[in-house]
Amino acid sequence: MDNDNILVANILNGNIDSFSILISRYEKQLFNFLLRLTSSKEDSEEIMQDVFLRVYNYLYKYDSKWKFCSWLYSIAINSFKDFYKKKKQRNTEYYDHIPDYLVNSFTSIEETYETKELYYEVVKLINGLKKDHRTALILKHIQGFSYTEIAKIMGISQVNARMKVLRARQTINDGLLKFKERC
Amino acid sequence: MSCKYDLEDIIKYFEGDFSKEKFDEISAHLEKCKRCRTMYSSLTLTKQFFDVDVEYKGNVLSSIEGLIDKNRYRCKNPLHFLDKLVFNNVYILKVSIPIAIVSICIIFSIHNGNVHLNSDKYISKNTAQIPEEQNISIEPTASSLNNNDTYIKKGHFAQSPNGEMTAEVIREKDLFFDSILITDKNKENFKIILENIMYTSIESFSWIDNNRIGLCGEINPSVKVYVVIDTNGKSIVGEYDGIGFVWNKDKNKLYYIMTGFEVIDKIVDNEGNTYYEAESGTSIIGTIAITEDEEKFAFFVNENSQNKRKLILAKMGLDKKLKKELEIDAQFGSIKFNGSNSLSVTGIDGSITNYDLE
Repeated sequence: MDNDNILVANILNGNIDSFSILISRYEKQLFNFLLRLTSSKEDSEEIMQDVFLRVYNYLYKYDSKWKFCSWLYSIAINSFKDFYKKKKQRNTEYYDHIPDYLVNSFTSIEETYETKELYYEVVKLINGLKKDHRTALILKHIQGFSYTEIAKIMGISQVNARMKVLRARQTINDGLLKFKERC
Repeated sequence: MSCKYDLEDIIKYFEGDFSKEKFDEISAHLEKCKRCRTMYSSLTLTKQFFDVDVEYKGNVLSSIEGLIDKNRYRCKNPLHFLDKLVFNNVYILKVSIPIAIVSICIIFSIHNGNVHLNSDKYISKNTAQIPEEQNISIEPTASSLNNNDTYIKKGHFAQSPNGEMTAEVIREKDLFFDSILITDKNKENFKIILENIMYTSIESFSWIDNNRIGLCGEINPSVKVYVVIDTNGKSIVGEYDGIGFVWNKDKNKLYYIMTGFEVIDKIVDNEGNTYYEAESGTSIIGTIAITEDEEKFAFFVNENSQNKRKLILAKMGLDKKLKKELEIDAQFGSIKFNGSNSLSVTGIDGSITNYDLE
């Protein structure tokens, strides 16, 4: 039994302290994941609260055959979808820009002007990806999930998960090639 | 100038999936090839973007503390106990409840003297209808099946148009996915597992032609998956997510509506061609109807802000894109072309409205 499953078993036995340990283990990486999906700190925090609330309420449904983090991320994707469904009903828009704290991270690295330009272009291309392609790419990169895990999290086939990541990379690559031709 | 490497090769190189020799070969190639260098840059810069670690300064636990029931898992809550009991035994309940209902019906019928179990006529008449879910033991004749395997029939059975083969959807015990059990003309059985294909219920299951089977499963109320199974190759040859799947007359092209969360609805085919994209603020709903010559398409669109549905008639242009020709305020329902100049819409209430397109 891995550490997550021990914590889950403790929570199911009424130990609330184990839940706070579980949160502290995953809050940072989940926040970074949601931040790449939403491009908004406020939305990410709001969704993250909903995710952990759902985790607690439905923990008895967790099947230990799954890795806990796969289950957690599948809940996160559902919460993200529900959040924007509600938001859409309130006629608010998606954030269509990437915040500076994500873009400017590159400026501290000693790189050539050209590389920085390329980086900004890649960031723009990632932000312009189709939502499901972007989700699959983020899962691949942020958490290093395998295609089987991405498929389980997103509720799609393994082939489909692989295709979505490949399509996302292809779109970025094509965009970058075009950008280079323009320059 | 073209080179022999593509993006998938560069991804393998980037992820370190190559042998030392191949790795060195591509390293040397990258020095010379600008195109491949750009591919490699796109991968490294993407990784760079995702590697940025943003610090989380909030406190989730304190934000949700007031919302969680701390006694939920202290075994004192009878509702939670019942909830857990039902959830843990959902599979048993799913099987046993229909069996119990059927058993009660049979007992009730016998008591009322309506069933004559010794009558062959009665039995053949009633077994033509496949029971919804029933545990059965299949005695396989092909080597691909083990003796005494236990399956659950899912109640979907179809015979090939030439009557030589039959196919049935089954669920093997302890397996998470359905399988298709096919019996060929020599009465040999083989199965094709629908591995990694998830759906909650089967909407349709039929033979496309004498060699292919189509299964349409519902993923959620707004998205379905259509699977094409090749019985000659004994494999799955297509898997498409969307709604409104319809084959052309020659059964070599599958048209459907590609839909999804935050995606523009499109009418596409199984080869990846896009024929129509929904306008902003609208979505394509229901089914598609096409004429035999595939020149005219009819479908419903929903204006999302007003929840107003319109029947659209579109014509295929020379550029292989559908051009909207007519927009009709029609009652929503299933659409059917009667020749190329007339179509009928069967509403949910069963009413049929004919439209003359001349």
